[in-house]
Amino acid sequence: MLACTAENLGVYKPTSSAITVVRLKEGDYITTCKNCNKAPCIDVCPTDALYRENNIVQLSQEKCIGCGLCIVACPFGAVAYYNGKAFKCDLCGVCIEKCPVKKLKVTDSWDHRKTKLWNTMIEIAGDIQLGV
Amino acid sequence: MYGWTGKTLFIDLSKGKVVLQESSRENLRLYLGGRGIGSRILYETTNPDVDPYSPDNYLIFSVGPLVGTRFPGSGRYSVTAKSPLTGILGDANSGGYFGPELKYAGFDAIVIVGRAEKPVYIMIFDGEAEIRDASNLWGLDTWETEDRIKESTLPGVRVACIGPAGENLVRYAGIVNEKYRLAARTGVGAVMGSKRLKAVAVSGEGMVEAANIRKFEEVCDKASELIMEAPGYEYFSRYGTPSIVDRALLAGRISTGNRQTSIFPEGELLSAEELDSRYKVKDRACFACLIHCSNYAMFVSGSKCVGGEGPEYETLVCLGSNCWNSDLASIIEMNELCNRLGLDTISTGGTIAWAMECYEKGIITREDTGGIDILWGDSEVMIRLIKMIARREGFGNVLAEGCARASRKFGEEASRCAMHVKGMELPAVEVRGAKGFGLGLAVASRGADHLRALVNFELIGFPPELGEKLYGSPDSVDPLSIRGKAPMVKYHEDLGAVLDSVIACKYTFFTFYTLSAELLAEALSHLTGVEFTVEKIMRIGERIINLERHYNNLHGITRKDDQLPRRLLEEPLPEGGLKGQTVELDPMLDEYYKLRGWTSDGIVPEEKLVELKIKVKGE
Repeated sequence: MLACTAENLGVYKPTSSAITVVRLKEGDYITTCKNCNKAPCIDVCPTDALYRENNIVQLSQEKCIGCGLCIVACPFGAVAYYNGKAFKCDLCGVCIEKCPVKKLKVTDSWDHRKTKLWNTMIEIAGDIQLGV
Repeated sequence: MYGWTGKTLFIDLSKGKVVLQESSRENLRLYLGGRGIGSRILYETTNPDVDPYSPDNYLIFSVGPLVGTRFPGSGRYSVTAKSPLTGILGDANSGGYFGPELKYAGFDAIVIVGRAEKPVYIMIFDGEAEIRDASNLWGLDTWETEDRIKESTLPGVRVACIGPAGENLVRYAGIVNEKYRLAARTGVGAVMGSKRLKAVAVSGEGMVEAANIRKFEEVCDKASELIMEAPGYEYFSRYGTPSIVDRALLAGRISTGNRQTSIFPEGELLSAEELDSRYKVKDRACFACLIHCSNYAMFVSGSKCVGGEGPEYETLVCLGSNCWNSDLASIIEMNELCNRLGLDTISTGGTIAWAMECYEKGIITREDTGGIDILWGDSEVMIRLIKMIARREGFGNVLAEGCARASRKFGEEASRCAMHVKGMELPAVEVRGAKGFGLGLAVASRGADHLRALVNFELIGFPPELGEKLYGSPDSVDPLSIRGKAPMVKYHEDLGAVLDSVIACKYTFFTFYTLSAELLAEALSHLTGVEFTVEKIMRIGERIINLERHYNNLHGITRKDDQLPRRLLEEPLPEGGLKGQTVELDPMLDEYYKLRGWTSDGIVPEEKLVELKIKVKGE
């Protein structure tokens, strides 16, 4: 989280990190943008600041007006807020590079998502279609 | 402002007043933050005639420039107040997540004075603070307090609070954050209790800015690498501080039976391997730390789970071998109990060990204890005593005063059994087998404290050439030698004071010795934009040590107080590889005072204070 904001925002600010740790009783889980197939953040964005490119949901800082609708719409809490604008993961990979135990990786498999946290979120997310 | 937030919160509990102030730039420059700032504010505000329990005693929570950044082990905060245990400067620091949260909430320090009329807690949220009623929290243990505050405010709020021990002014009560982490020593929790302040809750969404974040990140990467590649990293990160028990057992250097011997035959039962294989569930880490030395250990007793983070090395020895107790499960239970009640396990163990020896020798009788047999190794009685101490019930009321004060009631013979320096109970280390530590404990500014100097250097087995190069004597790498120990203690104290002020965990530096002062200076320069060199930060360390010594001098502390318990000076160890060892303290003290530029009586001369900019000439 610290590496993320240091690299992308130039400050240490864990509450604005694009990757966050969710602490549940069962254990700690990492959540970040899942690049949903049918991404609710893209749907709600009034200025088309959020768009899909190479299967990745991208955010244009120029177009973003900081309304915060995407933050509300995202079922995973993966969109953060910094300096009046939205901020989300663009797979820059700095967290992977700096993870001391090298436990982070980018994957398109479904297996890694089948955690309790994931299931809980699926429940919350309802019938939104997910997938890479 | 880079690195620091530049804001200090001033709270007068008597008047119910909250004031936001600019941090003194001059003080930040000269003392960095954390312990340094705490000591400076205490020196400026709390005179020698102020009683530790009076409303006029100041209680200071402080963080340093590195806190909240990615620098390894920087997630700590420091608490300073005049100590009710020693009557002199007192401070303690603790890890976890509270420190960074305070920084993100926008403060370098919280300065608290006065006494509330009824129990209160302080809620800090993003640069604002208010004093709230805590009548419904008073009397709860620290775990319940944290849960209640989280329920009634935000789930993500970080809480530092006191338990029943702090409320009942047990002289070695600590402040607990995240349930398992204590700013334990010198009774800062009791000071909080005397102010009727139950908790400080913090939530912050702010940030820490760096002058040159790219360069600073590079230094952090380098520091992480140096730690993770250090020999011993894997071992220490898996077993944590309990691994020191194994080393101490191997060297026959484990404090046993109130330090009557250094051989504990049942020691294997307290070893790191035993804890790891039988009770450990997982590792836990503090904020931004990659050592993750904390062991989360639990066991099932009846219908409930007992345990949590810990026990650490100090607890294993102070509540274990030093009380002839080899029941590891009972230590885990006592550790949880101390966390819940808000007690320092070192002082608790030291006081109970004192009572056990006195009971054995007939100095304390069943009449004194209210019918309790305080026998060596009886863990059930220990658990009962801990509960009684926290509530000051019966004989617990005597033990709650600490072994130094309690022993005065029972005469000279009892005093000989009291293992303390300046009123604070000795930590786990057996200093007759680690003489540098002996000097460190004797001169530490908060009483018997291993963390002021933490001269692990002498225990690691470095080559003699390195000892000669750094501390002027090849023998300095030998823990049994007294040569080269004064410069070694001085260096560790100075750098340690800087680490406590910026704040980085001493274990990231003094466990592997791969991080250096150069690296720290580089990190600070890139973070704050102020040029720091090794000379400059060592100078700051020296300034903090001298300020603290001067403050203690004002309280009447001189050479006569820089002493170890007579047992360690006069009674040779009876068995094992260290047989016949005592601590030859006086020659080390002479050398140390000379190096520091203090008088032979241990007083900081006026010129030294002026030279270090602690005082203006003639003030």
